[in-house]
Amino acid sequence: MNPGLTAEAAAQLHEGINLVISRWAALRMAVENEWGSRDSLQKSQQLGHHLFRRFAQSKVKVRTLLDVSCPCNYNVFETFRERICLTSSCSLNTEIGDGSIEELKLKIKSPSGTMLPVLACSTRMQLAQIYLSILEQCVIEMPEWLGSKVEKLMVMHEECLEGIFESIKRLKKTNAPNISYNRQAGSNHDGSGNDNDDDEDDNNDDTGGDNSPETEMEVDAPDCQLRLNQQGSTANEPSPKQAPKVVDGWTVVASRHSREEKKSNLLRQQNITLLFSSTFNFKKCLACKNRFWAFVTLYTHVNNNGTIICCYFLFIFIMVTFKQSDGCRLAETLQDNKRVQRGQPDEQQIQSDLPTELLELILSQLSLRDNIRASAVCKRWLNIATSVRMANKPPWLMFFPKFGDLYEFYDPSQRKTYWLELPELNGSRICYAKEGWLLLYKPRTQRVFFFCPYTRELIDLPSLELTYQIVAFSAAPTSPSCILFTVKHVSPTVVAVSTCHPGATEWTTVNYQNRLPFVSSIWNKLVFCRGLFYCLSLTGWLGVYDPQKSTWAVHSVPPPKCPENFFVKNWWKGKFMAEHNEDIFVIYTCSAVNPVIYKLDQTNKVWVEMETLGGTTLFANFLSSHARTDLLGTMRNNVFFSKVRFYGKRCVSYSLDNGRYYPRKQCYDWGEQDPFESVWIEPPEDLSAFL
Amino acid sequence: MAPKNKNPNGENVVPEVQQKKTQALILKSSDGEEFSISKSAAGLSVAIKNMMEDDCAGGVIPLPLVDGGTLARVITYLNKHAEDGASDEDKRKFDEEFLSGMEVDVLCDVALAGNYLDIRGLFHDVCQRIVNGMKNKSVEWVRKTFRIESDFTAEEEEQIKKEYAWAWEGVDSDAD
Repeated sequence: MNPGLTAEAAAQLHEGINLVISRWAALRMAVENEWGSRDSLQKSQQLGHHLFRRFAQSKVKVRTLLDVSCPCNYNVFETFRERICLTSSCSLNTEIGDGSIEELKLKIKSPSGTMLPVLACSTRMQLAQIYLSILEQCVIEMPEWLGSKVEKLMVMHEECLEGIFESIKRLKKTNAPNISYNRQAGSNHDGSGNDNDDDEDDNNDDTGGDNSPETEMEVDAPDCQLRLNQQGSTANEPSPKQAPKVVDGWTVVASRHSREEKKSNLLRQQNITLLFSSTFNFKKCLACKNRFWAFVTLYTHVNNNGTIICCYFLFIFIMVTFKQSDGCRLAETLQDNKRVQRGQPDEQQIQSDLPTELLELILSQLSLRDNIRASAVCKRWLNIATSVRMANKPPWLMFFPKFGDLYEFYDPSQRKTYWLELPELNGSRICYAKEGWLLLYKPRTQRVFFFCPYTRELIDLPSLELTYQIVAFSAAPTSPSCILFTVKHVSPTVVAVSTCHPGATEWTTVNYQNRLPFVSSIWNKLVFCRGLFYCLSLTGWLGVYDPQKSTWAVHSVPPPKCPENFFVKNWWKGKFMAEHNEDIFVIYTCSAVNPVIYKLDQTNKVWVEMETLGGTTLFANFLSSHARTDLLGTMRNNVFFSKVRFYGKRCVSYSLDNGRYYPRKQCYDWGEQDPFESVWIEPPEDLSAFL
Repeated sequence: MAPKNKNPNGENVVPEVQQKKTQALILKSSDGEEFSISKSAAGLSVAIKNMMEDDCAGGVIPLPLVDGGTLARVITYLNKHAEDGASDEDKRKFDEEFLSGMEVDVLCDVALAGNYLDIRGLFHDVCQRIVNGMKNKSVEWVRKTFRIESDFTAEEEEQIKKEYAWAWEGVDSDAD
């Protein structure tokens, strides 16, 4: 219990809540007419009790509850509304589920349906739309209207907390509104009335069939409206909502009640009148006649009290007719209703509601996979998804000529070749490439330097004698984290590790003792991964260098198993190592059999043979191998090997999906190739630099 | 015209709110609902700001492309972001909570409203939310959620699926 609430206050609050509920016209009607089955009264009392307990237990200060614009309270407030919706729906839920709204809608929509035989098809559709739009309106307004009730209850609660009972007293003083509706009109609650009703309908069917539907509606409407006015004249509504609600900063102007607004609501009222005129024709589809009359009565209030009440009554009606008893189902149903109403009349309408710009923005932010699936939604989405699709580009293969300064660049996805004249590279040998930067070595001067072929930017490094040893860098030289690393074995148990960074004046060389024998490989089986340099020895042992701690260790990971029938000649050349997204891959190739791919299982410290690469593509090269994901077309799940220009081919690929080389294997003897002939390099942003 | 001028110690919140109310304007949704909003909050929408500057904000600003439910949400957002005391962290938290309860169709409505009213932050956040919602969902789910009917022939759809079979691997089941 809320400590702030005295016994007296609690009693007062309970009474107040009951009073509010008793003045809840729709609920009263529901109770009086036992829409919620025979124990409706009991159920409504339960509702009051439930509400009281809810308030009494509430730990939150009610003033803050009222502050709708405050984000968390907004939710609380929403929950409150929902709660009340649910509670009332639960307590008024009826066991008879035969006249469900869904069924009704289906019947209205069914073109061959017999329930509206008087109306021509087009009008029936119109009618269905009107009906649906009103339902929707009702769903939208319902929480707002209930919100006003909640507010009233909250004010009351707050007063009780402070020991003032003014609003309760006020409530007591005002007479309970007299909710009445025309029993005469609803007299066919009983079985005999039903039969009469059906007959009437049949008559209507016969005569009305000849009339054009429009005229019939027009004729019917004023007549019905008149009757409505007479019937509903005594209905009264205690109104917490006569004054606009002012809730911290924004006011909900209860527009439906002002006279001016009535004009603008004319159309709505006409719709309702139209609906009403035709509700007589709905009768057949409602299995339960007294519920139908309840329905009719709802509309009798329309012209007196404005649409909100009507909508609310209609809502109660919906809830009464709905079979679902648990709260979740109701919430779902509400949403479904809304969706069905909006979706069914014209699906294309909704779709075109999403303007191209918005769709472009959304689709462009999807991952490649999601983008591709989105393109299968419909033709419009296909066009937009394709236009904004962001696939990764594969690296290009850069060829180093034997003579001259003309360098060839090959784009494997387009199978196109471009040329660049790069005299800066004259006399130098390519060592490594990453992120669009080449690491080059000029043997004559022992000059080591970075070069970007697209921007022609050149960054010099301290010189170092690089024999045929492996060398790599961690990041682009423009990045502060760029570290260069090279290792060579001095003896099987001692390696010399040299490191450097752009801007340094010299290389740092340290000798390390190996726990395990490590003979560095000639070709680059060297990657930078998770801040560490990993390199594979000639026999497949894994050496790891930590540039932060300057430590070197040969890991006890058993070397990847070389398949038995792998050709012995030049076998050390047919091994490649690549890194992607913290995964390390090793590729074994030979001229006789298909390549084998291993991935390092870093937790279990073993090399695992890969059956498939999934969305990954490997680009193998003697100097620097790379991996890519999200490539389009046939490049996925492939290994691309840089290749001597052999019968005009720039590179060959091996597809893991198909288990074959493209072009089909002729004689891929990797050992015969010049390792300094080509390197994979990041593709350029644009083609402006090329000849 | 910052209300805080009247509130030097920054403690008393009530006069601030009232101050705002005095310079409120009314926004009218497509379905005729009217909402009052402080000028400072409304000014976060570039579109409304322009309308105010053009002095067509004398009385009621009609927003024929925004329905009442959506407008109420937008106003809730604007009010929070115009709040004097709210820190960026508060706002971020609010945005998270504000958007997390919305269904895709509601999000689309809010995104459209955000676009129409030119509220950058809201528009961007909502789009991001929609994008996250579409993550790893099936084509059928997307169609259902966005209420789109496929206009592909069975062959055309099959063609796309065949060409990009990998994009269909490991997609969430529609149940959730």
